[in-house]
Amino acid sequence: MEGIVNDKINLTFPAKGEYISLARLTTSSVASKEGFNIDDIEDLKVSIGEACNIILENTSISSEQNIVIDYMVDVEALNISIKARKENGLDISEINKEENFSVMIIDSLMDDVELSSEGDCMSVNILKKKRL
Amino acid sequence: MSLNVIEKFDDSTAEAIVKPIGEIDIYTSEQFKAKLIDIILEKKSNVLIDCEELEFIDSTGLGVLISALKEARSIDKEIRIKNIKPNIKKLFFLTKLDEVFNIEEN
Repeated sequence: MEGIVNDKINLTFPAKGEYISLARLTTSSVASKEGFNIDDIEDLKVSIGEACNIILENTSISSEQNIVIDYMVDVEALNISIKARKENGLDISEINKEENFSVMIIDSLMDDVELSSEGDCMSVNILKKKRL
Repeated sequence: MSLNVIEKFDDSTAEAIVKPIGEIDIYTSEQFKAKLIDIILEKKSNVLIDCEELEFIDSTGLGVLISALKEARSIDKEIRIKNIKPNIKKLFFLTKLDEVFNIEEN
């Protein structure tokens, strides 16, 4: 089977809770195709859900806006960026990482997590390395 | 997958049994919270959450469990959790909620 290394996949959906299960499902599928083991697929699925929760729960993002997930696949790791446009609410870079369950969970399960805000875009960037 | 919640009352232990079936996430957690808090306020009993058919929970679901535990303890009642799947138990451990809840080993 031809791998999906170096391919870029993206998923765009309305910023509504009912679509988070779609994000989890897509993530499972991408991670599975890339050869992650079952435990890591589960961890990625949980982390993507929490990254979307960070955006939906901590910013006053309108449900008319979209959340965009970019999956960047390489030989050693899966980089995932969960992005949305900033509105007038709290910026995710202002979240107290020590007290936020979502950040705590992603931080424990992934190799790296970064909450950033640049211009009118905020993003949660996740890195999961493959176990060789 | 959506969420169904089955409830019954065990007269022998005077305990309300709540069985969530499916997934508790940001979309379904409000529904679960409303049901769970209703049960606590109405039955005024200890609550057993049977997670045998709970496939997934996220941080919003864990938040609901914390709210329910506070509500129960405000009337001197407790919440026990049983039949928890390994993927869900892992989240309790990561968030240290395994030290807060009474979780029965399978």
